[in-house]
Amino acid sequence: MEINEFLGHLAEEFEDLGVFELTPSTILKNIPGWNSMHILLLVSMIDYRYHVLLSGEHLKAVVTVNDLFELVKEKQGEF
Amino acid sequence: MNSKVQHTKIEAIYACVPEQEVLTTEYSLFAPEEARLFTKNTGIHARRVAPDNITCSDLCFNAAAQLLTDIDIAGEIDLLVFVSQSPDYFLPATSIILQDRLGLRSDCMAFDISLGCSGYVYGLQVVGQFIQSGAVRNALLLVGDKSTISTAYQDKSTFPLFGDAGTATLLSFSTDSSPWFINSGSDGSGKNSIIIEGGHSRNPYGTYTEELLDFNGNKHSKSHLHLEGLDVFNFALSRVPYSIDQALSEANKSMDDVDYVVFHQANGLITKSLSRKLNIPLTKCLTSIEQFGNTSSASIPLTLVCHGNDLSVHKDVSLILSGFGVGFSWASMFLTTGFPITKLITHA
Repeated sequence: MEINEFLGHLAEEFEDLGVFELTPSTILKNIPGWNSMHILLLVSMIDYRYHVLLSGEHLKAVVTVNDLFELVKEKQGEF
Repeated sequence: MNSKVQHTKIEAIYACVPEQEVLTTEYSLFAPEEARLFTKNTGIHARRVAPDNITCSDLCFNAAAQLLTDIDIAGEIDLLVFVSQSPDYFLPATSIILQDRLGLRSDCMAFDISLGCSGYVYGLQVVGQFIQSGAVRNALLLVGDKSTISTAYQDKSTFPLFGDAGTATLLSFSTDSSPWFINSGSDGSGKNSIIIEGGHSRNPYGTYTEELLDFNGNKHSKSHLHLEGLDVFNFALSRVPYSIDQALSEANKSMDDVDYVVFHQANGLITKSLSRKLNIPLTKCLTSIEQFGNTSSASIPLTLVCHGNDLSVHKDVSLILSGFGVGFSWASMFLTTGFPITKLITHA
């Protein structure tokens, strides 16, 4: 699992980003229009693409895209 | 648990929705872009909202009365079951009031089942057990909710999501019907994820204030519906695929044998996520959420009614019906059936 692939999958889900560019250091809450629906979109994508189902508890410590990437990698390793 | 119901036929499904249609774009707390994204991800363009003087039981009554007018069987109904989480009164049970309003015999058994989004499949299962036992020849299953009575306008997570609807399903004993295969389950550890805390025995009216509390920017009181979207989403994705697999396995079928899947219409994103997890083409997933929103326990029968004209051309259809939600509670069912008579009516 590579960060660029992960960024691509995220960008696909958030296709309304316009010119906003996602990078590993992007703070999720700073994504334009960020709301609870985006959390569901990314949880759905991660479940589908990476077979990891993240809960609210898992996401509490996630701030950046890279935090999310590392969390998914960690959870994949648990299976 | 897994169970099987035999000798039970779904003869007809009628649905009744309120006349008033409310568009997502009319919700004043949504900026235009927010409304567009909400519709894109939930699928909801519009919902039907019942006025103050119309209850869920009124909608179910209208659906049932029309059904009993079209199919002259009122005198032969042995059982009436009302499934809802928005009954008329604390007591008596709404089913008993409906028995009288519909002019059913007094030796007709009537009782309520308090379930939400899983309730239709549970109702079919319970009624089916009575019918296959031979004790009941004909039964009415009335299922619906007036969810809009409990949503707070200041809560974006619930107010624009829910619509009102009532349904009536006629079930009869039949020796030539195919068996139903059902998987059902419960997980009360999810009780706080969809809850109205106030108003009943645990927190009676008068023991708490009606002040609006802030939940991540959404505001509602203890008398309103509280919904933790991510919890519900995780519950659905973790429980529903297994439940459907179990029902199919009991029937010795695979998803390739299924013509259509009707998930509870929670929101479009959950339907999409479940369909891709189960590798079901979205074209196989019937929906009604676009026009009616999340109609709670009514969503599965309402969706069947919405597609009744298209599906009635088939001699038999194989269906998965899967309800899931408040509790948590879930039930999935595989059946092959001649498509029932359906009708959608509007409560003026």
